[in-house]
Amino acid sequence: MAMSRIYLEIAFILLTLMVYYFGRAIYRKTKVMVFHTVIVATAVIVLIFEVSGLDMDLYESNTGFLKYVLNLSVVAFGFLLYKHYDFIKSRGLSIITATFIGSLSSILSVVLIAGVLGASPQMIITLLPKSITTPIAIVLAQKTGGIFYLTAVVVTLAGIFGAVTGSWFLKISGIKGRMSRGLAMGSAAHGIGTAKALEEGALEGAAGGLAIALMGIFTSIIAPLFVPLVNYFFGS
Amino acid sequence: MDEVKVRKKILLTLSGVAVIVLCYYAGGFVSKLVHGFISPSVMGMLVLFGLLKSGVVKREWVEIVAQFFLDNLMLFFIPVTAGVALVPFSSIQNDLIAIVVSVSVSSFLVLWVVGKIADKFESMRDGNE
Repeated sequence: MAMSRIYLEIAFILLTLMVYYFGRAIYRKTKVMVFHTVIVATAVIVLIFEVSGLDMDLYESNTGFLKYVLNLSVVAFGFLLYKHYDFIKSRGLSIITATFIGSLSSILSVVLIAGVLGASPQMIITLLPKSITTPIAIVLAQKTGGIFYLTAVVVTLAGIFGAVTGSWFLKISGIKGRMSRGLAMGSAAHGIGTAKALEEGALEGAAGGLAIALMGIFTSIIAPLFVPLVNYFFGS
Repeated sequence: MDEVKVRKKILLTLSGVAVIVLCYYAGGFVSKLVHGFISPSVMGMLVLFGLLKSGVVKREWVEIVAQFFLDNLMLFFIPVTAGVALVPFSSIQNDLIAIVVSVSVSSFLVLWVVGKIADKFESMRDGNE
């Protein structure tokens, strides 16, 4: 029994690897945002299980190793923070202030808008990490009791939305600074937005990278404080 | 010559894995001290940053492995996004409009707030110079 579980883990790691490289190849070839690696890879896995009639639960309960490594990938953001911090340290105060208020605005606006539109408290909590990088968002949603599978998908879609509309929106808002633009893209649309910002230049990319790490930290600290408020105001 | 390079790369890969795993468990320990308010992995990220900044851990000890993780993040969360198939659509259906509106409006707001604040600081900087 224990042995067959190890075989399943290994088989699912290989499956995930194959699907990941497939998704990446499709995205690199098409360069169309809706064919983003995550979207293609997720769709292929879901499709495989739908068509074969296998229980998705089998995949979910035997991918423990990859989910453990997901935690280690969150730790790796400490290196990202260090690398980019040294690059733009002269602007520390500006960067910290902008991302801290950015994080607070993200949380507050999601709570208010989703709450007023009648979303359930659990749904609001699921949406709270929407602007932070997916691994940190998953960890946060697990901790606060959100539907973390849904969080992961919403975060990816928010990233794509920000990457597609961000450049245009910053332009009509009159935001011109190169660092400001990178910081805004990384704050609103994490890695997917930063990849877009990197196309504008290295400074934009570095600012975006820093924004990902800082948004992740600030949101991990601020969001849990809002959970009791969400339950109090929007709970039945 | 090449063999030396390969050996060095293997050593730096092992050191990277070791440092990151240790930071994760150190993060778990610190997380317990604050009653789990911040999760072990996010604490681990701060521990790694602190160790790098203070010079206890040298950049090259973790660079290979950390950069690999950052470049291939998606690989590790695909099992989670695929899990959305386990979420019954009926549990999302009623909140669909709230999800779409709040996420898109909030994304614009974050772009605007962060961009404006950073631009303000930049113009203050230019003014002082």
